[in-house]
Amino acid sequence: MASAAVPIADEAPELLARNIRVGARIWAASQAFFFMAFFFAFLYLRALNTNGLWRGWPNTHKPHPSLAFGIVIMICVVAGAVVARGATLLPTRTWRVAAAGAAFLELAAVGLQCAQFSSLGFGPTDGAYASVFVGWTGLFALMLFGTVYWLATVISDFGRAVATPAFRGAAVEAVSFVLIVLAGIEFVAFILLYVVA
Amino acid sequence: MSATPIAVRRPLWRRLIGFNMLTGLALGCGGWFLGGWIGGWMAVHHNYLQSATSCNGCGGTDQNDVGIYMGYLFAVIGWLVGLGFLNYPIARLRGRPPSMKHHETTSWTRYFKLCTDHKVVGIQYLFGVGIFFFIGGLNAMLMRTELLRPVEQPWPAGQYLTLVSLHGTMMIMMTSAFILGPFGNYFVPIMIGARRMAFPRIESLTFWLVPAAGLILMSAIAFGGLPFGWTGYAPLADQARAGADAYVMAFILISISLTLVGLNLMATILTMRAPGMTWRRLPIFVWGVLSTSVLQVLAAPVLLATMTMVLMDRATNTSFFLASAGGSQYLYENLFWFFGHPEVYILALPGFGIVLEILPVFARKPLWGYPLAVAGMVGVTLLSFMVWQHHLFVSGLNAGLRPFYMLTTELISIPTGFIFLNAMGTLWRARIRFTVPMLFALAFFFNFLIGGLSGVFVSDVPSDVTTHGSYFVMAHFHYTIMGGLVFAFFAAVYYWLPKMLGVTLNETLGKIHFWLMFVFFNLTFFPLFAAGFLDMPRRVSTYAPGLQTLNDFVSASAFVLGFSMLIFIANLVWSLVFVREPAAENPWASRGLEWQLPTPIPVDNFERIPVITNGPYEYGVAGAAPVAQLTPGALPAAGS
Repeated sequence: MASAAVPIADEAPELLARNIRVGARIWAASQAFFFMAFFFAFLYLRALNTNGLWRGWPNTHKPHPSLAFGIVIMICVVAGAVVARGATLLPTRTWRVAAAGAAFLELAAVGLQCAQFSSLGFGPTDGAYASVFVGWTGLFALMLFGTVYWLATVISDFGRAVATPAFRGAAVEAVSFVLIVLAGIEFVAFILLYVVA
Repeated sequence: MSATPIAVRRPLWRRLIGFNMLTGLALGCGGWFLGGWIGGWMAVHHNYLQSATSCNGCGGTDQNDVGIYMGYLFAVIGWLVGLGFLNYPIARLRGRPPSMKHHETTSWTRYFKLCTDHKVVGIQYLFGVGIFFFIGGLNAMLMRTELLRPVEQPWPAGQYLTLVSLHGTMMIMMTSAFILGPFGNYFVPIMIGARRMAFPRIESLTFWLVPAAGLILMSAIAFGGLPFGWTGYAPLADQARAGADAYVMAFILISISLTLVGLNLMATILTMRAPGMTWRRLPIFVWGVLSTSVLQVLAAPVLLATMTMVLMDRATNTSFFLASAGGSQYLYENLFWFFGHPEVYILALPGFGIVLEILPVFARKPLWGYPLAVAGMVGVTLLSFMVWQHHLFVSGLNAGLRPFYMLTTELISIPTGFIFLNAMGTLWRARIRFTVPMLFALAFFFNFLIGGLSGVFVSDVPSDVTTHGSYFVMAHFHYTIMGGLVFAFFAAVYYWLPKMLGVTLNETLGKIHFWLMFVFFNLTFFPLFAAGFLDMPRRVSTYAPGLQTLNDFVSASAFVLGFSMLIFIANLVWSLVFVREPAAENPWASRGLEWQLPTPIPVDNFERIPVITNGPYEYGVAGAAPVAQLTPGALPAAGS
């Protein structure tokens, strides 16, 4: 098995970097369309309010997720994305610290989402809003976790000098781009699920 | 000091328990039981995961869906771990450098494991998808057997409906990968002058998800079947037995595969074109693949989200699609068809690319109106996201929306018409060579024309209201998908197989296959337009006795159509196993870059990245330069 950053002789050295940059943008577009389905579900079900059950069953508690959790999670996601994006501008020596900080913030968001689920006060069976809330936030946390893994591989490359600087720069830029898109999605989710709901 | 490494041949038992398909199957089976056990434990400890009637109006299915889903999930994870897909991600976390290669050998065993050679993945797709296509075809034969008589015999209505669903789902899933899988993966890198795909491991993953999806889908037979057709409409799918879990899981895997195939091919085409491969020199097949990739990248994630919602409705009692609990089945229809209609073009666009690629080779003329063909493909791609609600014309859609979707649907016939114009322009006054691939390509246009014209009827609200849900619609989409895509697939098989497998298929058997398939395809599906007009509904095993003669004729034709596939298989086995007549390096005198390479194509495709010097369709143009400079100082011999 080959183990060089530039895998095949006479392939342009910047090719790997270009691949990852373009691939990240396409991947981000796919993620956006994935969550667009939940965006559509939110607007559609809210507008229909079938049988008056958008916000749960009559004569029972209404689903009200903790706003504090929502704000902190959103801040973590957005701040993590901004730090990762900013890290692309830093010199390589300090980049690793910033990227690790971004990964920590995103992981914190995932952890907080899990914590919110454990004390949500309502369940997925409590009407259409509850369904959209649980589906959107749960799957978002899953996607975020996957992106953190990707960031972790980029960080682990750094200390070992196994990748070329061009590849490393592209990898950082790519993962931060995806995090920025995810932060945008999280912002929309926050507005819809906590403010508009 | 340098030392020549000595290859040590590992014992057979060691090779069998390595990372390969056998290990994948073993771990997949283990994962199924482990996941089922974990799912059972979860359901016991969380009330909302217990289906039955844990809340008013929730989609209770009286079964442990969580256990089933966890079983499938762990089975898929075990399958992928057994194939070795986890090795690299773990190694990367431990700081191993990025690598593009994995098991790129010349051994036959590479076809049964993770391999990053795009040519191997192409052949894996060809045979893998082919097997499931054959199973889907067998289902069709069983359905036509049932329809020989107007009463329920030999299958009860429920089993018949499962057959219909299994046939439809299997065919849609597998035909989505029918062209891009084998031919996109194999030829796109070569046609653009690259040595590999942008993300070779992801490419391999996309293939190995397909057999997992196929096997899971077939397991539905053991879990109560699929009583809802290939579209899996809510609330039927929400309330169905565990077979629906298989349907959902299979579609989830396929949608992940489709998204990643699109991502990979798009990135490859955008970033890895050889010097000189300008957009105007890009082979038209690659344009078809690029357009399809855009659709896959944007539409398949919506399917993934939709199926995840169904999964949650069934397993955790959410109510996305249950009106009795605040959801809406119309939400499902909207989301499903937002994927479903672009899916039609995911099937059609690569077919356009293939036939337009083949026509100039056998017409010995340049492709007429190349920019128009590209515009047609781009136009179809853009419009295909704006037509989905025509599937909801009779579902209670707001009447005010109907004209808009009728218009956008009818508009799509314009860019599609461009493709026909290209074909006619290319064939005009050409000296056509009627080889087997060319026959299939020409038949594509004949069939797709009928499919397209009947499509105008179903896009038109007044006529759609009368034909919706009838055999008319069934005949229409079989003309577009089977008459279009499957004929294009066989055109590609006969055209490219000499390069892919290094053997020539028997021409006589190929022509028998073509004529039987073409004639009996039309005899099977054309009468179904009449059956539709006579109000014969889809998915029902009984029909009016007066329609028996028509149905018997259709069934008999379908059996011969099925027999024609056996001729193809016989031809393949005969040519590949018994005769093995080596194929010439460029038997069609094509200018395509892939035909300038030796057969078999080396692992790295090109010794050096080629420089593209001319377009691929300059047939009959005096003094046309060769298509590429493959090695410095030497120009390849190209058909002219």
